[in-house]
Amino acid sequence: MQDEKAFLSELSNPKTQNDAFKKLLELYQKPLYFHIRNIVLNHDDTDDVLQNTFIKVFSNVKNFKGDSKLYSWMYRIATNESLTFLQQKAKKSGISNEEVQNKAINNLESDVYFEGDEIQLKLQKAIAILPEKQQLVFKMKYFEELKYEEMSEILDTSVGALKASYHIATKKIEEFLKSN
Amino acid sequence: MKNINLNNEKIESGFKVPEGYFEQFESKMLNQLVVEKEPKVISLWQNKRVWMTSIAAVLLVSIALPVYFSMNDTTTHTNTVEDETIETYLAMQPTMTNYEIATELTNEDFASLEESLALNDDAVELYLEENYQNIDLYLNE
Repeated sequence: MQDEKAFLSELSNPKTQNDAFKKLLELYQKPLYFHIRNIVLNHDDTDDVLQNTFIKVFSNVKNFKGDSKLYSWMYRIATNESLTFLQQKAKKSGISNEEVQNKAINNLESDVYFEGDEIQLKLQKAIAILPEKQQLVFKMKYFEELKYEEMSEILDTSVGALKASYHIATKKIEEFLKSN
Repeated sequence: MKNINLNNEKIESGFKVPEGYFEQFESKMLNQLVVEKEPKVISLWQNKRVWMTSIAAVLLVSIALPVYFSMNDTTTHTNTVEDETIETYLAMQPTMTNYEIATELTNEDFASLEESLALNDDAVELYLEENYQNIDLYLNE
């Protein structure tokens, strides 16, 4: 974003707030949607989480001190909201997080908003075997094509650690795709 | 399955969104934002009104209740006093004759008096002897 400081003051000024929020929505709803969708997989759930994310952003932006970039702060909120959503879903149905994810992957086959063929479904199954953090790193790098520097801010992890994590993740997935 | 090198081969996630979803989402969020901002103003006003109404109601009740009870008190009090005054008046009024009292009494009053007094002939005779000199006059009748 061109001048983040100026934009932040627009966001906290009641006169310019609405236009600034509109701009924020236009810029970030798409990337945040797909970021959330990659984690929760189902469209309706993504819609809920995206709403909660923007409500949190709107109500907390006045407390945002600019320690990090605005987009990375929003990505962090979206990530936390998605993971919390999955945990709550697991708790509600009395099953583990992994089972929730496996169920969601199985549901993809009949999902009208998933235009995937066999290989895409297999890729999702391969990702599901990874630990949570590696999954996030892989999805953000491979699907969302974020830069390591951006991911570093969002996930609060060094670029080196992220590169290593991504490397391990791709190896595991390639292995899974080869053997299954 | 063939070997896949993810670094060279791009597999799309395959996730799609309903048509017009982002346009709808944007307007839904902006509407929600307006709704969320407005009640803050209204709710302050509403709170103020609720408070003012409550204070008015408490004041009204605290003024009206003692007034109501004291009014009620006076009414009952006056009634008692009235009955007592009448009794005292009747008892103490020397100019009030038996006849005058009798005109105020109804037939039912007489019946209940007769019952409660349980007069017998001896008592009547004694009374007449003591009070009337010319008893013969009555005997003739």
